Amino acid sequence: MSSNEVVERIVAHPKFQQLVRTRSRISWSMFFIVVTLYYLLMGTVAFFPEALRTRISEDSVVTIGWPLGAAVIVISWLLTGLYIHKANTELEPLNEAVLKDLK
Amino acid sequence: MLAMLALPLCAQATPAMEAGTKQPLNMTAIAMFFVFVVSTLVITYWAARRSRSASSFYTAGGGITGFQNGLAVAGDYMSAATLLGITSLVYVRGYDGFLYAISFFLGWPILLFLMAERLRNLGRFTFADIISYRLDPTLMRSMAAVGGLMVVFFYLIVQMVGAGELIQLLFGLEYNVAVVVVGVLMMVYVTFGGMIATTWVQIIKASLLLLGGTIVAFLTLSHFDFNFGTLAASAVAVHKSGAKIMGPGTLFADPISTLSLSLGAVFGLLGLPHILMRFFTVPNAKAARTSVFVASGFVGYFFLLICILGLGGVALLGTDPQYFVDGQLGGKLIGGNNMVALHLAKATGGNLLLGFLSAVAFATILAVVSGLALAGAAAVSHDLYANVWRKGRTTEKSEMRVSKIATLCIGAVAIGLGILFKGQNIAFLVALAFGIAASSNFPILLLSMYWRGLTTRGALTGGLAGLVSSVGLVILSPAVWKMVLGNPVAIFPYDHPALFSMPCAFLFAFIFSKLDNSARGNAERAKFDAQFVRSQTGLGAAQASDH
Repeated sequence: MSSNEVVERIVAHPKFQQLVRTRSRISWSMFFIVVTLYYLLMGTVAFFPEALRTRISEDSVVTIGWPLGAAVIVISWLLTGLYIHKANTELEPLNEAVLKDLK
Repeated sequence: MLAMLALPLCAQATPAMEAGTKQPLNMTAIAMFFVFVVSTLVITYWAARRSRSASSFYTAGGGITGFQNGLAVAGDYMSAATLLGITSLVYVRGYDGFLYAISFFLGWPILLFLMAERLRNLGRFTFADIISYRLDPTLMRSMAAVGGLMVVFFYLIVQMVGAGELIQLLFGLEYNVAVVVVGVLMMVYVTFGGMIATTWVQIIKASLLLLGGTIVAFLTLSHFDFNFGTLAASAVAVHKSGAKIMGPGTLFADPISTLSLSLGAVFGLLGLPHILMRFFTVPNAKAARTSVFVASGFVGYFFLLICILGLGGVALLGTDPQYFVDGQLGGKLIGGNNMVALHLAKATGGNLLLGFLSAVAFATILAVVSGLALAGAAAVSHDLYANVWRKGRTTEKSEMRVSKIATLCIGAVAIGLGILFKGQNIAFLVALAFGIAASSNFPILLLSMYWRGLTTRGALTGGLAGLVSSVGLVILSPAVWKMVLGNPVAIFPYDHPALFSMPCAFLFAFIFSKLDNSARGNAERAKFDAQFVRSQTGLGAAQASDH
């Protein structure tokens, strides 16, 4: 089997197509979540800075800008964890199935 | 990143240096640094015996685990400039400094979602391997090597100048001596130990940096009952801007400028050659994913720590005259604003902690320049020598020899440039390195992996358009046109070019690929399937060698 035939067979393989669709769904949706969160924050900074100067409570000088900023970092990190989990449980089995069918 | 963050470092450290505030020799710091150097040299000796093949030299034979690589790649990103520069930014500007840190964090998750697995599956030694997979290897490797080397050199200058100034300040060593010490140690690590030694130096340094940052932050918080609100209240009471430092200030008020900076920060990461190269050191795509998870965890944690350090600096140093020039509270900090983290170490942990953190800062610079030199050497030997000049007709032995010679040359040039740029205003180099990474390396790399339609003609025009526009816009920007060339008004009003130069690269690549009806172009499109299958499944990807 030439390498071109291998490629053609994989491209036509339903599980390969499923792998590609699943990976692209997971990665682009997470990409958009992270980018949206970040630009929501930066957009608020640019257009509604007063909103971020709101204090978290009467007796604290800390503004809601701090927990929101920390949340952007923590949520996007948790999403990397979720991506890995999904990749290992959803993508890897599909990938292995495709490679196994070649033999 | 480190380069970008060196912006406040260099901008502020220079006047202090001119004022001649050289510190007395700090023996604790020197002793600790000596221990670091000796142990890393032992590792280099050990690594040298395992670095006989090209694969072990460039990528440690693909035998680094996901966790180890995550720590190492985080180390590449967390430089002395990150620790000192962002701490200082939070110290001066409060919440704006935090926003800056968030902007530089964001590239990490995106690197995972869009690139990490594909990088591992398609690449072998350099990111040019990926671009030249189905496109013309001579043209693509030449372009990628030029883009990569420009980023490496601009970055290296910033690091070397920062190193000279910082070490002079911390250890009381002469500027030129410090630059030579950094350059020579870097050459030793890389020529003898290759990627194995560079990785371990990076891992040790990253662990020390995280440990040091954690200790200082812990001790700082212990002054405030471990309550962030109490810390913030004390900082507000001391800072001359008062409660304003708790909210957004002026740094990110202009949306266009913010957008341009953020695009450069986020997508620049995805075009930095020394970061991309690290993904070839792990055995498979799964380990590549783990690397980014680990790296983003550490980088995110470190950035949050730094915000505590910055506010702690305001609260604890602001009331203690011994840290200010002539004891003037609220005046200039001794050694400049970049000394916040180090003064804070002294304030919370005495001379021992100051010595430790100083040694860590020195070690950090060494590790970062080593990673850069290795990426530069790989571009010269693997891309330019072996594939462009010899068209792949060379032996592994001679490629290795060229890479070692290249490392020595890069080290020598870096020392020379470091001395040449002493005391110069180099803030623009940062925008330049990131502009090129985000506007030339990144768009072509992304399109080559994602878009079947890309042809050599499109990639070449797009890459060059990004390169020329980013360099051109930086020259016309305030940092060069006004600050360096002395013109009254900058022609291009923003410091960061990415908002304009990055779309320019994508647009040219798109148009010229679409217009390309040549036989070569069609053959390149036809080869996309094979590349796509490999990028998705890892079938045919470079295997880990048994080292």
